[in-house]
Amino acid sequence: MRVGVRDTSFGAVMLAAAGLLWLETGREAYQEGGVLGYGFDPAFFPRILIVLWSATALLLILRSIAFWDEQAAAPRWGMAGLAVALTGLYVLLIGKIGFLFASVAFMALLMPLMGYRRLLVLLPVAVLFPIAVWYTFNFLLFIPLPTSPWFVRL
Amino acid sequence: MDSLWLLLTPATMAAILLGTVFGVIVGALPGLGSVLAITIILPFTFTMDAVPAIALVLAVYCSSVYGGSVSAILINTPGTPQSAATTLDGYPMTRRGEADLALGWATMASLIGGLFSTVVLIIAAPQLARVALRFGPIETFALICLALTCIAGVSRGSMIKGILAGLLGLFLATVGTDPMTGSVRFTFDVFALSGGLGLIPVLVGLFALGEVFSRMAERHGSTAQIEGRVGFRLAPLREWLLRWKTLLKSSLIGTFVGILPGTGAATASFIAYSEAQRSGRYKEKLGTGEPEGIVASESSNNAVTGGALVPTLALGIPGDPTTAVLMSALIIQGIQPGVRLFIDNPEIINAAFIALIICNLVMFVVGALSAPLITRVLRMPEPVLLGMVLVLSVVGSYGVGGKLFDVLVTLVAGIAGFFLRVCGVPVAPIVIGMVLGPIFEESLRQGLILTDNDFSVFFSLEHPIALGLITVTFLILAWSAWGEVTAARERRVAA
Repeated sequence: MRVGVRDTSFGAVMLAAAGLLWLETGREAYQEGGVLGYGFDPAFFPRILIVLWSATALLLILRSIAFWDEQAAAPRWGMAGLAVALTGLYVLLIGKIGFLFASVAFMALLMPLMGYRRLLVLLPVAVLFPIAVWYTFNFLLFIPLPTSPWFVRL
Repeated sequence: MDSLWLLLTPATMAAILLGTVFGVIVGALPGLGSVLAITIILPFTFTMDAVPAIALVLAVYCSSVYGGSVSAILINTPGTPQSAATTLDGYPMTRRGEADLALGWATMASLIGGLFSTVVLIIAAPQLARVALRFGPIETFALICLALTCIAGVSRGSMIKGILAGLLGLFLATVGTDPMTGSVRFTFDVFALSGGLGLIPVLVGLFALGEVFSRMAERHGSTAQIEGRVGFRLAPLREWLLRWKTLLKSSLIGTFVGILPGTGAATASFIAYSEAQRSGRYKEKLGTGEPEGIVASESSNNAVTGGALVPTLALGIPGDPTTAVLMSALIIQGIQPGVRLFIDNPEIINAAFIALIICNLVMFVVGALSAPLITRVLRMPEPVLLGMVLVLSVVGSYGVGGKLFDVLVTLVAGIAGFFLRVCGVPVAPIVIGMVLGPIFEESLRQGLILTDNDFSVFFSLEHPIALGLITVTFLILAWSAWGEVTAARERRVAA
């Protein structure tokens, strides 16, 4: 992956985001006056940040031209995508089947995905660690974690 | 002497020990923190006598601030925002196989910072509280400007990207309700965002999830394991003597920032880190696993514990949510903090001071004894460790407010953290921006109201403290910019 392409793309995305956010500050909700007629409206500070943000993004694009041909290590996109998808599914499942079952399934899938396949270690860790966390949060820290719909609440 | 006897009871000693162990554990769990730790422990104080109750709360307070450094050093995930700066040098030391030494530096620095601020609290609480009241919005604005300069330091070699990340962090802090007018900003009709983006979910996502995704995407695979010694190791005295100036300065910064209402330990640690980058003996090595960075961050954030008690006890003004909960524990015990506290309850208040000293000492012992056990996590195969980190991160974000939305924020922040790493953008400036953003905006707008929208007053002799701080800020920025330009020129010539 070329550093110049990477940095220019990043700068362009940041510049576009700044533009959209500037448009957002133009809405009526941001034009209310300050406190009892003093001070500035709610868009005052964010607009300063957006201007600085845009200027810095432009500077980054200009600077990236100087290092256009340098090479940077490219990640394994497929592996990263899988990890993100699996974590997203895990977050979704926590709300559906509760923390405990979702975590056991997640750990049992994640570790082999990362290349670890010793079942004698993998399976006990995948089961016992979520149970330990669940017990600690529910009964020692009194922070109830999402429960499974298959458990009847007493 | 009466106060000492009040403390030397089995109940009080047990409260300090249990509170310390509990605080270290909760502090080390990513996402949870001091406020939650004290809130959990608060109901237990209802039936206790005043002194053991105060000792318990203080023990939890001190040790939870310290506990955040353990996960910051071992798994690159600060347990609390206060320890975010500790990751910058603590984790590189762990990667180098020096986790035991890094924990030794952090524990000792935390002890010294905590003891330093307690002594200051004992000697000069009422006087310092009055000084803090003279620190208005303009001075606070200047102080935060100085703190923001540490973005330049943590972004060496990619300062433009660091500044961009810092601005992104400052911007993210504006999401939610405007503190001055009450209007809702940048929520895009998502109701859950009206309270703003939680700092902890974003922090956990950027550091923990982002790191895990990056490790999984590394070309050489991710079955590597960190080698090195486990346990607890203190650096030789001569190493400490080489860094004594940073230790003293950071303790002073932490104590002073703690005294200022509304700032907090995270701000203190970034200011202290910034100062270490400016004047530290090993400033060039900061960010690469230099113990001076850990010393700056940990001594300052633990020094805040004593400093924050100054306005809380002497004026009855809690400086942050943690001291607000702590103050409520005192009120439950029938002790009303404020100007008359030192006259009405001298034995209790002296007992609290001595308890704070004991708490810091016990924190050191607990930290040293538990380190051999805790550092064994590094002996685990990396996939197992990263799986555990992911589960703890998710559950930690959920635990803050009991909302699945926070977990979603963590996931999005994790994806963003991964992409930022791919693009070579440092993520620490985002956290710095988010921590300092609210107070930066508030002090700027309050200052403008006070000066009738005349920004030039901020730089005038009417506010000499602010003028001095802003001058130092500009000097640091100019110096950093010059260094960046020189480095870029050398890089181009080498290419």
